[in-house]
Amino acid sequence: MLRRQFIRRGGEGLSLAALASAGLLPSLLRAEAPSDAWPTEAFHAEQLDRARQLLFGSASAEPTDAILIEAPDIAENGRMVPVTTTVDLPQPRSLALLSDENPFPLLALAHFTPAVAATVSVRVKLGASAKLIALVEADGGLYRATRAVKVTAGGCGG
Amino acid sequence: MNNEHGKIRARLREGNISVRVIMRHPMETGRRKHPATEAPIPRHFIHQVVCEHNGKPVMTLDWGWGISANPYLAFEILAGAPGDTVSVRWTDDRQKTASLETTIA
Repeated sequence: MLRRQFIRRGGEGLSLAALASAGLLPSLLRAEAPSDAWPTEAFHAEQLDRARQLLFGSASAEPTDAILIEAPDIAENGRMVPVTTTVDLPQPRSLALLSDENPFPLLALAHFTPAVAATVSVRVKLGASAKLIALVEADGGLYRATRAVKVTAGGCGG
Repeated sequence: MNNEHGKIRARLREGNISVRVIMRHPMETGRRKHPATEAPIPRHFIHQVVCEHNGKPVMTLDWGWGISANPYLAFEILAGAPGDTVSVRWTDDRQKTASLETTIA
């Protein structure tokens, strides 16, 4: 089986971690291996703090200007709000993007390798005016930045 | 490259590869109702995305249903050259997979 197929199918049979410890994966992948399972509980968490704790444990996040969240001040369509997050911290490992007003706050997680810039653009649904929160694991610590977005028509209902 | 799954564009910018992708997917939250029948529309969303450069994974994403329909993703690969390939593949919560690939001009 190709390595990339294996990653996608991480939930079936052997875990990626088991393979890594057996020395069957190249070092880059071993160091940066994505979690082999989608974090079900964190995406289903209805409280922001609960999602945060499931992802990062009890570590407190240090506010920083080194994470920039770009989003419109006012979004006319909450179904499609463009968000670009740029991380200017050494050794960025992962980024979690959350909204404090969505029924399920966790929107997206990115797992970086050194082969990419720690900058990701996506479009998200915001049910109401909200604060976007970026939590970033980098340089052995946890960092956070926020950005307020006013939504004039929500994007979570019918 | 365009196909029925979406579009991918990748170009060199100051030695890096700037990648933009649109994935065709409804990204249903599970909270919407069919406008005519009022029947609930089940949740259906892309949950994992793998970005590859010359066949090697460079970034992976886990998504929830809070990502907009027909998801847009832009990112940057450090150090690229003409002839390099960039691909993005994804899996949804019904284990359907799709991918898009392009070669740097």
